[in-house]
Amino acid sequence: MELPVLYLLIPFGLVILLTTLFVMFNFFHIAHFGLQGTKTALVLVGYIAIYVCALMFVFQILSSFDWSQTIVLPDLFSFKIPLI
Amino acid sequence: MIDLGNLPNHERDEVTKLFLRRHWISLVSLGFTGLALLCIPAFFYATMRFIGWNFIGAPTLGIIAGLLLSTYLLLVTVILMTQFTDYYLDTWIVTNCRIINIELQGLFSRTISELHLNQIQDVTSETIGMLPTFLSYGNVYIQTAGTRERFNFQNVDNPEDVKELIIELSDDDKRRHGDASSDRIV
Repeated sequence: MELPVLYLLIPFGLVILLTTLFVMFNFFHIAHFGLQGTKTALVLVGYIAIYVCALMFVFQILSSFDWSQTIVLPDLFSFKIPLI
Repeated sequence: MIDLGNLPNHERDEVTKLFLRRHWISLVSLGFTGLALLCIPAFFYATMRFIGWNFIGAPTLGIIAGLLLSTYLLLVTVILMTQFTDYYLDTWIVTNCRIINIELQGLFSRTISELHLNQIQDVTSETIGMLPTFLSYGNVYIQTAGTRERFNFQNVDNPEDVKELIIELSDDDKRRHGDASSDRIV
């Protein structure tokens, strides 16, 4: 049985959705309940910057793989790991 | 947003005297935890290389490892951000009339409690351990009359000074509004 590797991105997409939601909750909390001032504004900018950097890093990792491959399930569970 | 010059239920002639958060050492500890969590995948990868397994080079396992690593990194980022939010939003505001305790308990629960200064019976400061003694941080406990839960300022900077100021403000407030710290019915 063969599956396109691209299918693995579906659960990963859900992970991105979930983490984005959590970051938005945090952002909302600080924007709504934080102290009025420059410090809070800087924290909010920092939040966005850190999360965007994390996403870019993750996309960089994932873009180094060949996503046109297919998974052959029996091969996957045979654990053929190439030795260095 | 909270404006210190215009707090909720602002009383006449109310002036903010102190705005407290936990000591910055809490942030350092959070930073070290984050660093340790981010080092785990690198350590795992180095171990695999050491025992001669190049799973990154394996066609399918490499992709799965990449996805797991990406998921891990995103989750660690979000957990650290949530911990920082908890630090940033847990605050204590002392005015010349009252003490406001704002506490975030998880992402969906927030407690705001308020205590009038003339209800204060006893204020205790506590510094335990070598690091808190050197960096001068600790806890301040404020006891009120009756069965009310006492206010705890956890790991605040200069707990002794905070205690002194609260006692002073409380005495002033009792002179202006009368002492409400006694349980006795007169």
